[in-house]
Amino acid sequence: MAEQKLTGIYFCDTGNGHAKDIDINEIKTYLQTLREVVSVWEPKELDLTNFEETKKKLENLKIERMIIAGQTPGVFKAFFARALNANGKNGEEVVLASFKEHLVVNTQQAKTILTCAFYGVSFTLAAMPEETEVHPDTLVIGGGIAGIQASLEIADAGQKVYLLEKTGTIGGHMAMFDKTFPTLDCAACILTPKMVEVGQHANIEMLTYSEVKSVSGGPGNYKVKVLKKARRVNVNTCIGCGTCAEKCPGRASSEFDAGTTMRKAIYIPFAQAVPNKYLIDEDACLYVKKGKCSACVKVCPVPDCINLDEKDAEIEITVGNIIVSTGFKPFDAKRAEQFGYGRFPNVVTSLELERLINAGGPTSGEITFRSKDKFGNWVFTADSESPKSVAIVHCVGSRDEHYNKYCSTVCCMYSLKLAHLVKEKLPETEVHEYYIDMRAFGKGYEEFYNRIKDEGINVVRGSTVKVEEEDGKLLVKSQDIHGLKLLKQHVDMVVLAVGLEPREETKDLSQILGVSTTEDGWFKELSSVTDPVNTNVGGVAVAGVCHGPKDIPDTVAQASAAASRVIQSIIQGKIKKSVKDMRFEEVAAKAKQQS
Amino acid sequence: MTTRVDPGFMKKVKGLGDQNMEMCFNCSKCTAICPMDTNLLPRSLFRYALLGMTDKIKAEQESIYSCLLCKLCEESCPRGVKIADNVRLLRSYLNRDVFNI
Ligand SMILES: Cc1cc2nc3c(=O)[nH]c(=O)nc-3n(C[C@H](O)[C@H](O)[C@H](O)COP(=O)(O)OP(=O)(O)OC[C@H]3O[C@@H](n4cnc5c(N)ncnc54)[C@H](O)[C@@H]3O)c2cc1C
Ligand code: SF4
Ligand code: SF4
Ligand code: SF4
Ligand code: SF4
Ligand code: SF4
Repeated sequence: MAEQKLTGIYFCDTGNGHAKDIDINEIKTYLQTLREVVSVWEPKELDLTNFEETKKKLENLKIERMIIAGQTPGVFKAFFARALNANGKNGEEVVLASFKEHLVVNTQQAKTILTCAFYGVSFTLAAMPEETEVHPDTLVIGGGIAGIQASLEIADAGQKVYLLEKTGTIGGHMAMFDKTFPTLDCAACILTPKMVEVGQHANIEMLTYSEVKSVSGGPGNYKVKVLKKARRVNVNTCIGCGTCAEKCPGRASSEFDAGTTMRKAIYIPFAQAVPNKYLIDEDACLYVKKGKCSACVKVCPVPDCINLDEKDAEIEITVGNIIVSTGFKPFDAKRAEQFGYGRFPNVVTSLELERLINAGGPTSGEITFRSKDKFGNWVFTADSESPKSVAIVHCVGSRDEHYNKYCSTVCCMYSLKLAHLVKEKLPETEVHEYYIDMRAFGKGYEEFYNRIKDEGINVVRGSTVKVEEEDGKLLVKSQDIHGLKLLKQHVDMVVLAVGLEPREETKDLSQILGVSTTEDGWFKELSSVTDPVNTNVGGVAVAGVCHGPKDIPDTVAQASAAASRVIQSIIQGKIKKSVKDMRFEEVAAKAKQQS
Repeated sequence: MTTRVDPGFMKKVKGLGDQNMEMCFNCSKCTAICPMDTNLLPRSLFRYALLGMTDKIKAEQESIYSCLLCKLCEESCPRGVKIADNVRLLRSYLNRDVFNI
């Protein structure tokens, strides 16, 4: 500090008052240890309706500078400026310490902000974590559209990326869709070329069927142990002919087809999978479980391609940055028992309907009823009948205190999309859609909503409370809020617009990486307002739905932003350490030093 | 017909009992499950109360008294609205301000 000015401090409690974890007394005691601070007032100690009295108090204490702290300190700026002016001091000497702006929630943070205000140093400068050297390689965890986008951007900038994916292929949920809202673009036409590009990119090393085991080191230099699960099929030599699967007796429900059909124990997740190679599901393979079969090995035309005894392997990689893009899992519709999923065969989830509509799906694009196969599994086949009426129920598992309180943001729009696609495939079929509020928030979305309403789809404002079975049909109970009518609609098929949930592994991954999560379990960004991609851990960014529900356009935008942070740090050769590791004393010392 | 609203209505009934009508986000699950099969119970009544449409509340006395307080609706409510308590509050209002008991 160039000159030392006698300072008064005022705590306002406007806005939401002080957060419950802010201990004003502790802060006061601390502030009084600063030599130039002559008084610290709370609202009850200073009557701001009485200008003369306050001005006198400032005058008596010879105050030359005021710091106003709290949620919205700006409100009082003019008042104190006038008081200082009236005392012949400089009215410019009013400093704001805004808790709201800096997302202050506890005493330590409040003290830090006030210290920076006291030394006249900007918080963002004082709290700038130190920088350290950065390893130029990057790890992207999760190969959905978020991870694909981020990997391509970094790789195109000439830097090495490891793209680690848990399943046997990249692609994530987007690969399962037929069309995407609001443009009704063919999902595969956008995604497949990107997947192929990832597979062929010289700067991208894919680690599919792999998991992060542990992470050590720090920002700029992480050592990551990766568990490479045994595929039991050699990715380099397998020609993807599928002869093995034809003979394989092991069966499991297909993840890619959202359980609408069965696949073999040796399988390729879907036709456009990248890598386009087979793998063995050890939980379904009779050799792994009982040591009994080896049919695949016998018929495979490539020598030594299948190794039924292959073991999991572990490798270690070193990276400077990590992007987490692990996506979501759909809400388990069985939890909302009132809708009968699992009890009534033709109550289906939105994801199942996506697969039915898709030409590459279990029914080659026919929307049909669920039926039992010869092994007794419930599946969909093209030769089953089609529904004459369909109801789509919004907000399943979302905006509900029994499940998740948040809005999943994409299900209003994908429901409209599905309604359109059902109508397109089955023009004679009635489609009813029941919603609470229509969240058509994005670019072109309201227009899309209006278009759907014009297509003869019965879009009803009013939530569905229950689905029952009556006379061989499904009975959907709702109220039409606008028409004030109680509705008991008989339909052939009910589609549940299930919400998005954090995946179970998010907890483990957040512990391995040290990244905080929100109460709902999504990864937490550094600042929801100004920094939506970095996290509290230096060199770890988030992208896509693992950070909270969002649609594909927003996912892609965030992935590009995360990639640009990584590229920025590589170009500079430096990366910031973790904000979470900075202590109050450190910031305070830096503020003092910089003043 | 014009509808009159009384913005002070919720304040006036505040002392009559516990209520949390403002938690209601107007989804209508409660009305759809209610065994009384009326269009008014209970969602619409809460709208009238929150807006202070006292004429409507008086006109719908019958609905207000027909509620069985069975709480079937509460089980379905996604917002934890204490529906039975809220209906009781409207009854207390009618008792006090309309029937003067
Ligand atoms: C039924 C339905 C329809 C939809 N329709 C549309 C639409 O039309 N338009 C639109 O814009 N949006 C739509 N969405 C939303 C869309 O699905 C998401 O915005 C998008 O998939 C998010 O991509 P992501 O990469 O973040 O996550 P995901 O697609 O979930 O990908 C995550 C990837 O990470 C992998 N992974 C997970 N955990 C780990 C781990 N621990 N280690 C390694 N890998 C891991 C997963 O296997 C997966 O490959 C729809 C959603 C649903 C449910
Ligand atoms: S038979 Fe052999 S080469 Fe052909 S898909 Fe199966 S594992 Fe690959
Ligand atoms: S060994 Fe396993 S994967 Fe191969 S054919 Fe038999 S069950 Fe299928
Ligand atoms: S996006 Fe629509 S359907 Fe999905 S939770 Fe939000 S309001 Fe409900
Ligand atoms: S179910 Fe609850 S939130 Fe929905 S309208 Fe009824 S009281 Fe309101
Ligand atoms: S408590 Fe009243 S409003 Fe609720 S379901 Fe029972 S009768 Fe209907």
